Amino acid sequence: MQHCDPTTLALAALGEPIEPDEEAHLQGCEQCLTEAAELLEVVTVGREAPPELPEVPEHVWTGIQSELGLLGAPDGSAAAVTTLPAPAAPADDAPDHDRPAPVVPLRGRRRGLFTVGAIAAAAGALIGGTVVWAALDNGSAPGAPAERLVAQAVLDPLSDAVAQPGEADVLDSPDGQVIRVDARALPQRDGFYEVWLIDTGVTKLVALGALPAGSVGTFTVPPGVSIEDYPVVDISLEPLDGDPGHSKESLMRGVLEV
Amino acid sequence: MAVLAPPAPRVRQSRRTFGTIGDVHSELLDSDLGAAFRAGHEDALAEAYRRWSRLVHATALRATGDAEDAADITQAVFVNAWRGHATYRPEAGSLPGWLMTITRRRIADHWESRSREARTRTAVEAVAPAQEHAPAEVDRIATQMVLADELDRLGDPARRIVRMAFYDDLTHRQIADQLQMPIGTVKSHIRRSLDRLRARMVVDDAAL
Repeated sequence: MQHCDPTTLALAALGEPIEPDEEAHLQGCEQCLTEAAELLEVVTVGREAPPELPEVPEHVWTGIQSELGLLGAPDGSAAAVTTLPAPAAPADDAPDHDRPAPVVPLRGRRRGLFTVGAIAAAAGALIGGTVVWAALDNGSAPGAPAERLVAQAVLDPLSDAVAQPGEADVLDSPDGQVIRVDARALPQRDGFYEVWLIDTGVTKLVALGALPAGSVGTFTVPPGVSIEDYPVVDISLEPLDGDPGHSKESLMRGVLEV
Repeated sequence: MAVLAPPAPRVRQSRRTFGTIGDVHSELLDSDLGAAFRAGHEDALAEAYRRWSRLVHATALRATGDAEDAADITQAVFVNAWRGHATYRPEAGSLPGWLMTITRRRIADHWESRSREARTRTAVEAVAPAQEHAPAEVDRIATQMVLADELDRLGDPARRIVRMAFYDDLTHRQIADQLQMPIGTVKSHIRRSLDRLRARMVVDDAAL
């Protein structure tokens, strides 16, 4: 039969029963078992975790500031640090401030026990139990190249203020595709620099993030975005006006060559 | 002197007008923040603290079981990280992964000093090397907290659905009933959320 549906494997990992024919397939299929075993590990560790992380006492942040001498720095540059952005608390449930995170006991799995046990046992037999998890990260196996260069671009200066071209490298890394932008020739200016991917028609843009002047930045190419569709690398100078769109002031631009 | 402003947190959501950025849940991409942190922008320290202090603190709290020790360790982690910001290499791993590496070291130091105190107290009494199991145990705790952290970032309804499946022990059908949601929607949230939790676990384990 076909491989198990991915959603079925997720439900099996959660301890829900699955159809007998899928169960039978799962028992003998290394690919599906590996997948199920990884998901089972996520569920197992997740259930051991606290449902929510407790809040950090407020004095910790002030302690950090005072230990690092960030309060009232002479040049005023630390002023922004004294106002810590509000924590991103979940909107719907109020966090419990003082209580340490309880250790959540593993509940007895009422359903699908056989499936979970079968995943664990069969995975152990077929692919060696505890090595399942370690084997997963084979992208960083010794000797394997961590990153592979897939495309490059020379970023031509579009302004007299930029004396030298920059460079952009697109790399396949174990964590997905990244683009490394070397824009050390960019001068210090008011506002900030933003890196973009643009399509050849210059009608569609993907914002990759801010790049400090005179630095080399690495950005994630968002999953689903192809550099074939967005081959133009552009660096713009953005005013601090809160407008997320492109300022139309490009300082460097180049086309990626695969 | 005109100084380039540190990358201020920006509302990524509005970028969706371009229709090309998928499920971006952070205002400022972690990779941008990592670069700003390395470059020493003080705003980046505040932002890193806002994002990951709960993760660091929860790990220390569960590892030590003591609120005061956990607060001390959390403070030490961010102070160490900031003093060493130039040694952080974004290309070698995520900023939270790096912070968690420092966290584990500070927890190990904490246990080491506790066991020294114990040895001193008991003088000639033979004391077994305390917390021999510590590193593996801390790894486990760190992974648990990383998952709790990522779960927190899922956003509803996915977060709510996964919590019901994890902690309330409900089946996807029961969840669909309670939330009055189509079964297929619940199933796909479960699947995608587990994938995302798995991805974070792999990334952060690799960084540890």
